[in-house]
Amino acid sequence: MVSYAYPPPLLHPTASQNTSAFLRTIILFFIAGAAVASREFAVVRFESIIHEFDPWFNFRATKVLAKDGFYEFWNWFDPTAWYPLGRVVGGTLYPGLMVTSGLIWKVLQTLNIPIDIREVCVQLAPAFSGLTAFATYLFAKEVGKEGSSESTGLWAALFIGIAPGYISRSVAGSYDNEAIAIFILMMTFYLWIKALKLGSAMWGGVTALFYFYMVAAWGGYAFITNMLPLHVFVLLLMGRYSSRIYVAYSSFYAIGTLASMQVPFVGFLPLLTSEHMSSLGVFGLLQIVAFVQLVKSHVPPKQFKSLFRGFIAFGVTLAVAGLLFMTKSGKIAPWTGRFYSLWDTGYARIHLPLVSSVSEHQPTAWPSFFFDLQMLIYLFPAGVYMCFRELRDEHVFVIIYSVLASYFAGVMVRLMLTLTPVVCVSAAVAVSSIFETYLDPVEPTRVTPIDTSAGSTDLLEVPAGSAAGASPSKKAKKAAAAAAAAASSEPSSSTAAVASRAPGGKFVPGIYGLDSRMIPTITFFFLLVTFVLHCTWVTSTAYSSPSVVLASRNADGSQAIIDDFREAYYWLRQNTKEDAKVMSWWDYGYQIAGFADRTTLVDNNTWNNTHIAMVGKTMSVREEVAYPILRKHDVDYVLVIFGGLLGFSGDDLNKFLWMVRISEGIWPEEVNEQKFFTSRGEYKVDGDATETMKNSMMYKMSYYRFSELYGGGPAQDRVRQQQIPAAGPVLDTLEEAFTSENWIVRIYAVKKEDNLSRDHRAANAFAGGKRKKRAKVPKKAARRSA
Amino acid sequence: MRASLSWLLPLASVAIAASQQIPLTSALTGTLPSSAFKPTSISRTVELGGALTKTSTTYNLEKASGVSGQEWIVGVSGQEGYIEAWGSDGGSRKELPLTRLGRTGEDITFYSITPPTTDSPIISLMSVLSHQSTPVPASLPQLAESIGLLWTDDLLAPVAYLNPADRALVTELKVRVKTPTPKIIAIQNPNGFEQVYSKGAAGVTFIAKDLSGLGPQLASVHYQNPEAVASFRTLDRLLEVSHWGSNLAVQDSIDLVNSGPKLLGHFARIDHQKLTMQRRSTALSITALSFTLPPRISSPYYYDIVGNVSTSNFRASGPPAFQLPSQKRKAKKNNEFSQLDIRPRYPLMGGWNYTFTMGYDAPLDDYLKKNGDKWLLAVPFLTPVKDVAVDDVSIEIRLPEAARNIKVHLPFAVDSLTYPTEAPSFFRTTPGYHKTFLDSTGRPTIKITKKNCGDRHGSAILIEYTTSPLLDLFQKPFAVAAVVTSLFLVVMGIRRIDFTIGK
Repeated sequence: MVSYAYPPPLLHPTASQNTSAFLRTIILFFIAGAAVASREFAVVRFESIIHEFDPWFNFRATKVLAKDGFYEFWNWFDPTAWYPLGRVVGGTLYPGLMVTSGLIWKVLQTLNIPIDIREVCVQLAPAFSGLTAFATYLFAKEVGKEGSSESTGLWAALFIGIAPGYISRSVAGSYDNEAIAIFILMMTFYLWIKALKLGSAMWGGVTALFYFYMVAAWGGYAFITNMLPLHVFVLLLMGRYSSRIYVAYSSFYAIGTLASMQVPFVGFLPLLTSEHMSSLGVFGLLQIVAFVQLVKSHVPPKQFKSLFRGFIAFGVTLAVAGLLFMTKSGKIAPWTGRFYSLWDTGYARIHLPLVSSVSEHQPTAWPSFFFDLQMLIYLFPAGVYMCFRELRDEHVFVIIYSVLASYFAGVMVRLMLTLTPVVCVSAAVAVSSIFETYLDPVEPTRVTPIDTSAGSTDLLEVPAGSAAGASPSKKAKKAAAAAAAAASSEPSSSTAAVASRAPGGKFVPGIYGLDSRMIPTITFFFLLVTFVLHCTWVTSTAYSSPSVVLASRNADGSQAIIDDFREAYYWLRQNTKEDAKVMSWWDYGYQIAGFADRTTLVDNNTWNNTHIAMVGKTMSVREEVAYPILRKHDVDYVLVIFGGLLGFSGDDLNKFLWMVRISEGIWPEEVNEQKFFTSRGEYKVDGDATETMKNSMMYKMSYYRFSELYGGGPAQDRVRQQQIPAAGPVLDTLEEAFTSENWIVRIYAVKKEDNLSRDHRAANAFAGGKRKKRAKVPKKAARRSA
Repeated sequence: MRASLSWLLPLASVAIAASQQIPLTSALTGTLPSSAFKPTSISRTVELGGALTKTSTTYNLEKASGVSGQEWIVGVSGQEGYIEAWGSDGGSRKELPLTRLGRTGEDITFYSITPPTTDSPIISLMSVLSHQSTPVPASLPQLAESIGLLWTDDLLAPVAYLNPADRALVTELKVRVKTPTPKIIAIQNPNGFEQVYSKGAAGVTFIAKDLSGLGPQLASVHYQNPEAVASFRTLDRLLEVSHWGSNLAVQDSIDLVNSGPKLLGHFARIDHQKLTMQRRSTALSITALSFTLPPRISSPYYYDIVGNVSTSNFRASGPPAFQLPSQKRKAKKNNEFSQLDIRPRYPLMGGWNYTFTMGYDAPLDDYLKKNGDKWLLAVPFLTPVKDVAVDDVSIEIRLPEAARNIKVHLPFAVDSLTYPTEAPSFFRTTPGYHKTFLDSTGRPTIKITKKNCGDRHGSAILIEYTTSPLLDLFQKPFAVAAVVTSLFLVVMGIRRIDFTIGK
């Protein structure tokens, strides 16, 4: 008889199957619901608004798509960006996101459900994270252990649904490529595993279609481009070549590459750049291996060996030489700088100040791993370890994925996003196996010491699952004991397992009784509850702020909305000329275009380093140097962000050193970073500030008339905690045009050339009633001449 | 009609009476009928303000000899704004129906009025015109103390429609110009009129005894306005009637502009903050606007192109949260108006504009009643804001999908009025029908436009329509059910077909 620690629910096998299928569906729906709901904090607290910077461009592009149709969008040249250069938008973006939301909008319109395109864009990320939960379920189900694969899938879906590492880029309003990319990523991986398992060209083709969707949606598609060939390559090295691999990869590569080349921004890159070479190489290698296998089956082994050696040597030489030649001759572009920075974290800091000035390109600080993944981060290695124990083809995939993603997540903060799915899947493997082990009610049976050798050979052939059935034979009893023993030999369970020795019988390690089951179960349940609490807390405090609207608390605890950005942008939109050119640091380019609908010089599509450096130079030099540059670029307004009054730390003066650094890269003789530091190496804006600092445009525009707010006394800068001298800066070539309520956004109008062709300083002095100083001859010189 | 509709009722009855006669602001066709009355003396009061100027002209009439009929034909020159006529038959003054005859090329609009008595009646024409005063100087710096407006008009405007012979009959023409404050900067008096002005008075009077042989008599008053001049360049109003939700959704998209003197130079926040501290900021800039909205409205909103504007305040009508016993007796029927105070994102300096959208939901019972198989809907033409001119109004009223046989009664003449008369088709979008939330045939839409409106144009538009109860109740559920069922059928079909190639 099999003894149970607690009575298992007695159900007919079909009923049991149906119930679990029904529960699975319900649970999946609830998980998707939780995933969507936890991303709505921003909408509930603030409003349905597009967040941050890049989403504003995507939103604007989507509006063009919805308004003017697909072909207009495809051929869209935007003269209002990168003035005077303009930007070929249609050919320099990944259209997947816009097309997706445009299609959803169109379908809803056709069904006469009038919904604003903005609503679609805001809710796209939460909706797709519901789908991501489903895709992760499918993927993890493939990875999970036989028999408990569905529960592994459900755990993975639950984890990805609420893990902050993914929520950080998919809250409602965060309308960015990543919002849909993670869903496509997981779907592609799932389909790849499926294709690999079945060796099916159809699944390979579907994988390729999803790969195409990914290419159309996110620049991170290169991750798939390298991940799949690497998987194939490792499988080949492990000697696991099979026709299934050949069929799956060849169909994927052929269709996927051709499809990806249809995206204009990608074009011929899959054939020309180093990032894509690994997939091409593996494709070639696979053909060779397949050919070799074919030859092998036709040629006697001895001849084959020599043939094989020669063939390998020839092939490798040819490939390397070809690659070298292509790279040297410029046919294949060498690796881009952004890619180098993935290998050498110091590279960007020295060579690409523009890339490293972006906060999300910084290396990850270790606490953020815990912050974003909480307990998943320490269940992750356990899950990977369990993959090693079984090591099916898909486990190899998970292992490669986790190694690669861990490295990349350590290098760049934003790549935490690609790590999160594999962490969730691995953790799900670990958690589901823990619960499977400890919730299994079957007790290990004490084996009586009769004829132990008789059944031992048979044991291996009896599947563990059927052994738990009701067959009362001796063999089955032994099998059940062996199964329990196998389950209990996991490292985590061995401590809880109670070893018992049957009276005079054999020692059988296993889990006995209810208490030894309860303790780990309850412990893990508690950990999971804290995980949920942590995720909710992180989402609500850290990741649910639109960043264009700031919130603070009034003295009575009520929420006060600080809406300076929109105030100023809307003023620009309503009360300036329609073709006015606004210069600002590139961070605000997309927002100005989206909110204010005005022409900008630089924006978040940082394709032209020189142009950005020019803006940086204008901000960091003296007024008389900056004025000709401003006039040459037709600038009407200059916009700066100043947080000194309110203590808003993300203002332009705090970003100022990056502007200096970037412009120093182009004009080292005109801008010098060292001159902005005091002799003691401090970054000061108070009375001790250097002359260069005080005369820079940025300093002047930030503090212009600031001290008047303090009644003419010294003013307090609440960001840098420094006292600004009472005698504030004087502006000659610019006029204050608008300042928002809390002084966060300050807009200056560039004066036209003086009518009497004086310089502006002289004109201002004249208007101010000051007498023009005569050029005095120095007394000494006068005497000498006399 | 229910008691709750009562606040619209007086307006409604007038509208029905008048609407048959004044459909559109059309040009004059044919010849004018001859007037049975001629004015003997005229007294006019012009109340100057910011964007709106109110005039009230009282005509002392006498019966003309040799003309049969009871109608007085009067011409009003200049802009065609809001107008109403008042008169008395010896008893109390009451509003008289006004029939619009048409407009001539010389910008004179003719009306016909039947005076209540034939024995030397006294009729008053009350009108509200927009933008009669222009800012002088045309631009001012941010720190200016106050704004000046210049009103210029021909004093002979009330008699402009009369021929010289009739004009000679007028024995006295008195024009009294009232200014908002006693601060009058300059007065210009034409030579045909005598000017009566005492220093410190908030107004000036021009009198002429003999009008014969006078040319154009241009008078002007340059005065200080205590507040900035606000006006709406456009007002796009959308009203959606839902029988299902028992809801009237009202949405106004407004282009607000400070039509006072333009801002000279640029805006400095520090100066504005100083002015606000001294409570002087409203002389040149518009910082807030207050809408008086109907009673019992709910879920008001206020947003602009870039999103929600958090700086607004709504005071709903309704019973107070608690009442002391002593207050119980005073508690009147809950007919108080709601109030929405909004603040634009930025202070509107002279010449600046700000577009925004605001709206609310109102209980339909207050606006709609059933009369047999007919529905009668009364919706206000616009939400009047005191002293704010509305230059261009366009109204769109979406009736329920099942509404047919539409009749529209307007309270005053409008520039255009369209509504569908044919039944909608299921297969194509019928003109005049708008498809929105889960519609299958579209909702009949009434479109109205009118220029030069002001704060008196809040009267109700009356709309009659019929519905068939079956269509009204079941069209939407049927449409949704049909779509869902067809989806199920398609999926059923797909599931039952084997797509595999070979076995």
